[in-house]
Amino acid sequence: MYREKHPYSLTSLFFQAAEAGSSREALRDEQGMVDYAALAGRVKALALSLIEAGLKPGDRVAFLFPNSIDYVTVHYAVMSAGGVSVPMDNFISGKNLKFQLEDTEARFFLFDRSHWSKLLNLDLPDLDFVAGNGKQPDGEDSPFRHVADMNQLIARGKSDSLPEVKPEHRAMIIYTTGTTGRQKGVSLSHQNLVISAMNIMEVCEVTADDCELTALPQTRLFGLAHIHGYLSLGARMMLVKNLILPQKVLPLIEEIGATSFPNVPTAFTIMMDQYGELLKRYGSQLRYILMCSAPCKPERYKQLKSMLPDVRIFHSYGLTEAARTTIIELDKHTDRLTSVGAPTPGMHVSIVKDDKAQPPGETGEVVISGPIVTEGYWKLPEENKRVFSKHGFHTGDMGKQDDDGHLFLVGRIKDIINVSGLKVNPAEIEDVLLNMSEIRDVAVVGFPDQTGSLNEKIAAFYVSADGRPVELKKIRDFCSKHLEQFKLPVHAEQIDQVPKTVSGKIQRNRLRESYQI
Amino acid sequence: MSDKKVESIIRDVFQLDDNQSLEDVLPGSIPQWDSLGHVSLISAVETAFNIRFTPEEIAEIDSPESLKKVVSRHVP
Repeated sequence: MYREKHPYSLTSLFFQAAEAGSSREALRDEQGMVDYAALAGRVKALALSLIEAGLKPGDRVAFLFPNSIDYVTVHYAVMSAGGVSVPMDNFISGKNLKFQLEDTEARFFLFDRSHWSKLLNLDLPDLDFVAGNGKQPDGEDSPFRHVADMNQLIARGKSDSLPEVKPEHRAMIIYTTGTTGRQKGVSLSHQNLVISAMNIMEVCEVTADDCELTALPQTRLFGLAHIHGYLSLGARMMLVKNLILPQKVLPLIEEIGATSFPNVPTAFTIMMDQYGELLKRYGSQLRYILMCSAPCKPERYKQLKSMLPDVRIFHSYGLTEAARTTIIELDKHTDRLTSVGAPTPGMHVSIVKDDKAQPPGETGEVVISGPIVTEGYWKLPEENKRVFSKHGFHTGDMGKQDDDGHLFLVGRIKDIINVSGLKVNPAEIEDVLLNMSEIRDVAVVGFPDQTGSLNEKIAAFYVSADGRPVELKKIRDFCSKHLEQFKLPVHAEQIDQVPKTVSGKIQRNRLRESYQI
Repeated sequence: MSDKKVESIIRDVFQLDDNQSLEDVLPGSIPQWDSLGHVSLISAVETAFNIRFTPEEIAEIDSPESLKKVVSRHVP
């Protein structure tokens, strides 16, 4: 039923918006700007060149670009040609690059010239078509027989018509970094992408007059959904490569008249702590902020609100497999600041335990159904059987809902630590430790208790607030005021940084692999 | 004197080899130098030199060279 509200492919929405507002600015990056007519022309020209080079509907096209106009051009050109867009993370290893090319059986590969040195000497599968933006040195070290110049392909500007792309057609395969195991390709249709994007646009009341400044990685759905939404509405965006230096990014809010600046809570924490004055000065010009991934700590939300009192603050939850499943406008729900929100239009969230849907207040696995949910993992039928049930897609996240359907995350199922038969959620301990002034960030992990009788023992890996070590005794004393005795860490280790996925989830397996406790 | 120490801290924080040149090491040029890595670097330098950067100085730090320059104001 809800699907009928969005009967278009992502590419047809873009071309409609481009036609309606051809002279309006569409995108900026660190090099320049394009209006809708120019962007649509680039997309169409490259799409037709790919078709001429042999691209058939459903063919996968892998590409490696930083956040840029070229990135968006390639992404939309592939989908407009009926192909399947496979964006690669900018810091992808040679091993994973090869894996993704082989797993998707991609015959087409496009890349940004800044990645040329990374590609040299790689043992890559045979590809039918390779293009880079700018001339590439076809030297002996090149892993490719020939590299076409993408800019020349775009400049040719052909007038043939593009194939019809339907909402149910596959649009993308995105590889999840995941917290464990091998990378998995998540297959997403145009409909998945359109609805996940337009839901956010609707809730955040985005119009063609909005302008977003984004440093989010556009290889992830959080950032991508915004590109999809803004370019469907005829709104403006500026893409910057990263937010490592907020002092260079924040002034752009004023320069381009941005009304939105999405990011993960950790990024806002860093900006509040280290670049507070700049955040206040420029951030106050925004209309809204959307955060995603790990829930924002209530005290951090309050701090952000006090710095930007007139800016609407939203938080959303989703996975690559079901992007933007819930959303909450925190300002309107200050009594449930730890919630990640209620389901977005058309989506349904269940809490499932022992194969039964649970009533409000009960904890269980978060299971999602609705038009945003992926059709499944690419070429992984056994995995698909494991994660899909009659209830929907099983996220592996644990949570509970209140009477109004607001979701509260309480941890990951496989992260649960078993201490002498007692189940311990590491997130509960982390929440306590984050209140220690000496600790900036922390990950709690269970390790097999080889010598004792605990079954598993609890270790806390912390990032010190001032660089100095924090004694285990101090950590245990602090925890003992808030937690049961069996939940107290028996080991504490200082680390420089908590390993996290791009979406902000703690990678506990990396700590388990790196340390022997 | 402080320049060498800053370079050593950069290598430690980003786990770089001693013989790797820092010439091309800039924010975003290596996976380790992301937003959190940047904060870790600033924090490690403050601790090592027992100094505290002002917000203006933090805003100035955008490369190994600018970091050395800011540190040199605290540690002649």
